[in-house]
Amino acid sequence: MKATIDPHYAPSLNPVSGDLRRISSLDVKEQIGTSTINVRLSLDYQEVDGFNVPKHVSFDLLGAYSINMEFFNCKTTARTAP
Amino acid sequence: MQTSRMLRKFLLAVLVSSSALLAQQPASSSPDPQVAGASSEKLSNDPAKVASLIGASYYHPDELGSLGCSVSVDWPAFFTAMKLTLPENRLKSIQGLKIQSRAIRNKIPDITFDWTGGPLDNAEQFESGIKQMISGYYQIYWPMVASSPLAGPSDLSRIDLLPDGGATTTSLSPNMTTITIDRWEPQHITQSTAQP
Repeated sequence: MKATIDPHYAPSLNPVSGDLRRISSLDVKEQIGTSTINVRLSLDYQEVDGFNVPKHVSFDLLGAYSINMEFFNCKTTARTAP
Repeated sequence: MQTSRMLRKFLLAVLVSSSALLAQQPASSSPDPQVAGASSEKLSNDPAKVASLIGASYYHPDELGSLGCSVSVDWPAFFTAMKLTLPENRLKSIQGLKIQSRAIRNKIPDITFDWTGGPLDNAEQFESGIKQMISGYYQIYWPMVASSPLAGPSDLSRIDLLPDGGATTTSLSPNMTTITIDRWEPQHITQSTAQP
């Protein structure tokens, strides 16, 4: 079994100095035997508590269907030091 | 990274969700080099330098510990794509469904439901499909989007410089992972696993 992932990037909608690009989508191709599955996961972001976290997530099984989710009223916690 | 298994889990979850609906169906029914993280220098075969460039090339909130959100699903678009026509009462129940997720990094998220429009008769099956779907998403999100692809230089077992200034790196992750990068960021990640 082999999977390939091609990430795509996009600049922040409101870039500030030092702002990094975000992953805007992941093209995932999985090969199992002679079958191949192509999926695209697309994301856009919202800022919550200083973190940029996904707002809209679209999961497309290419040639079959897509499902779109929205994440809202989000709260975050930071990782604690181990 | 176990993306292949996550992907199949997610796909299965979507199919489970749609099966739950079908069971009740009537018969008729490119990089910008001007931003931070971009570097105009060519990659070297110094693992520390390559790992540092990869880590700084895009946003991955390694400090994020947990994320709790309300979740809504665009059901009309999904039903249209699946060529499903739901009875009015089922559509009302589904559209009134409120979903809450609380995801702690690298743990199974806690997902709860509130059927404000009244529950479906097969609500448990439907909830199970949604839980798997959202869990599958988080299983991709935490390692692929919210974490650096490399823990550090020691993850790199091999660096092959490419004529265009990029490189192909090979990591020692449990699933053999190859990352092809240009001067700025990972472009192509290949995972091979012996596991079926």
